[in-house]
Amino acid sequence: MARGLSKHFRVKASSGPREVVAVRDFTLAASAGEAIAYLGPNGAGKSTTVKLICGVLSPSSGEIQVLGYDPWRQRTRLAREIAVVFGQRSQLLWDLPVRETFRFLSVVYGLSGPEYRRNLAFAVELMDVGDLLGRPVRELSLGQKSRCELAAAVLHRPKLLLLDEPTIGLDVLAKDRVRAGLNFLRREFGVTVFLASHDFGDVQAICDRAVLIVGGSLRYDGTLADLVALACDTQEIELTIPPGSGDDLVGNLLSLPTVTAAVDGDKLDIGFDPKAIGASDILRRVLQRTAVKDLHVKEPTLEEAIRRLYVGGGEAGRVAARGASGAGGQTGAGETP
Amino acid sequence: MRTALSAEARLAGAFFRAATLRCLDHWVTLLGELMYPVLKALIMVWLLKGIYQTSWAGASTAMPFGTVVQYVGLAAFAGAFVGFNNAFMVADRVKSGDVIFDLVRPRSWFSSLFAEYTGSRLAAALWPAAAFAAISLGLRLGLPWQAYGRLILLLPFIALLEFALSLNIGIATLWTQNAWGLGLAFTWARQLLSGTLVPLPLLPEHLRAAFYAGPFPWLVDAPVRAVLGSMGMGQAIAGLSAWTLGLLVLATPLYRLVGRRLRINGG
Repeated sequence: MARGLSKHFRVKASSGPREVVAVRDFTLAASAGEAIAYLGPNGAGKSTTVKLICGVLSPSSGEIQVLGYDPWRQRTRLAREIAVVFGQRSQLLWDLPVRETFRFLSVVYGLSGPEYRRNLAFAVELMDVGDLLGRPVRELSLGQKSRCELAAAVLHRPKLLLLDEPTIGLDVLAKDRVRAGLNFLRREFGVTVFLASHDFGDVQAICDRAVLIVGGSLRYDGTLADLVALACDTQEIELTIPPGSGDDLVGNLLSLPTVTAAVDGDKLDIGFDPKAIGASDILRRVLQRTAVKDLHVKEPTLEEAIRRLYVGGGEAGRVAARGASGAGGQTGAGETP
Repeated sequence: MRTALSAEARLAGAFFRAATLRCLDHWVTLLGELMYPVLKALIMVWLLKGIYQTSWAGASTAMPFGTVVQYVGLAAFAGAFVGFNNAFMVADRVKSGDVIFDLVRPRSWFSSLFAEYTGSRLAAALWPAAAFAAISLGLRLGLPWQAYGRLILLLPFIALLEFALSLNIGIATLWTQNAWGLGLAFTWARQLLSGTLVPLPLLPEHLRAAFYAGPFPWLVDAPVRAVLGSMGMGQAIAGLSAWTLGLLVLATPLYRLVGRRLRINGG
């Protein structure tokens, strides 16, 4: 749980030192077993928030409690209950076989012999790294290394997993393996997952709740489905119609509320706000005037929704601010240091 | 207390294992680790021999040549033993942001660094020990057996002082972004002021006294002189302990001050 959390950094600049706001007035509550996607453009403050949650950075103001601990003051106790994976950093011992990192971490986390063997078997099976245990880390592919990183992270069976771009650079199969592993942990053991990512495939495969941060401020907190619905307030239909029949139709459709229409050869693109008019009403109007050879409904994608929210202007920005339910809504001038 | 010490010892053991395996991973690494202190000491002896036989021939010098050779041999061992630059490693991790892995583990940063220092140091001490054996035999250091006992007794004190020094430098790197520069400055200061590069008894008295205003001569010069018998063991241990204690006491407020300034870029 975070309430009014802020983090400022003092940075040197040619014009003298200045204060940069990485996270401002951030409020969030999460329950056990949830999987939360933490979204935001580069430099939005995602990684800084992750570091505040695990107690590596001290908050400038506000309150934060993770699993009942104050992360900054009780960092070492909290560390037993959480794990952090950074897609761009590695905690594997580079020149040594993968097994050595696991052995090392078992000592760091104070696991007993039987506990270590049991957890190792679990982690190895979860991420399918059994064949890699004897190989030096430097010889592994990116995908193999990422799986080993995740296996190393779950070795002490954490209750909270903080993942920062865990599948960056991985191929489809490797991503599938990682996603399946994370979903298993969540489903079977109630592990809470906090996923900071730009990979919408990861987000949709793992999370059911999304939190969006832009310029250090919370812009949205809700379900993924609502996020798409909120940001993409228009739907699109593409029709294939007989050539030459579109021009009259466009003028007719434009008289309907919120409808936009454009014709290009035999393609007719129609946009509309589903809250103002139904797709069936529009189709009825079209079919009264021409034949339809083909119909394609363009579903709004998460990626499109996020793109609109990152830009932040217009209706999408205002709606997102409402979605954040009083947690801010204004675009900050911050950057992630 | 016993549990904490045992956990610390286990972690140091894990670092020892990792460092030894890394060293044994390739023969070039092994050769480099083994040969560097030996070559350095041999070159030092050879240069000093040249200086003694030409410029200072017949002149009254601070130390007879045999003692200089003993000093250089012992300094090579002590220097290689404390030469492992923990501050450099920490600085490197702070600069790259990988220090985050130190800080997301269920151990205080001090305890984690101490275990890392102790384990890695013990692993690396194998090679200076081999170098020392080679120098002892090859150059006939002619040390009495009691000298070896004194050396073994002083080693833990030297290591503790080295750790306390590198801990403070490591903490300071959390603040400054110029972590590499700080590590380099520390290395040079230690090389020049400790007696690793030039035996301090060969320097003018006032310069030596100035060096002794800082902690560095206690890393090499004082223990070597204690082993050779020109400084009392009690005085050496007292000096080493006082500096260690002072630096450890300094580390806590320093960490409190700069820990909040830590910046780690990106994920």
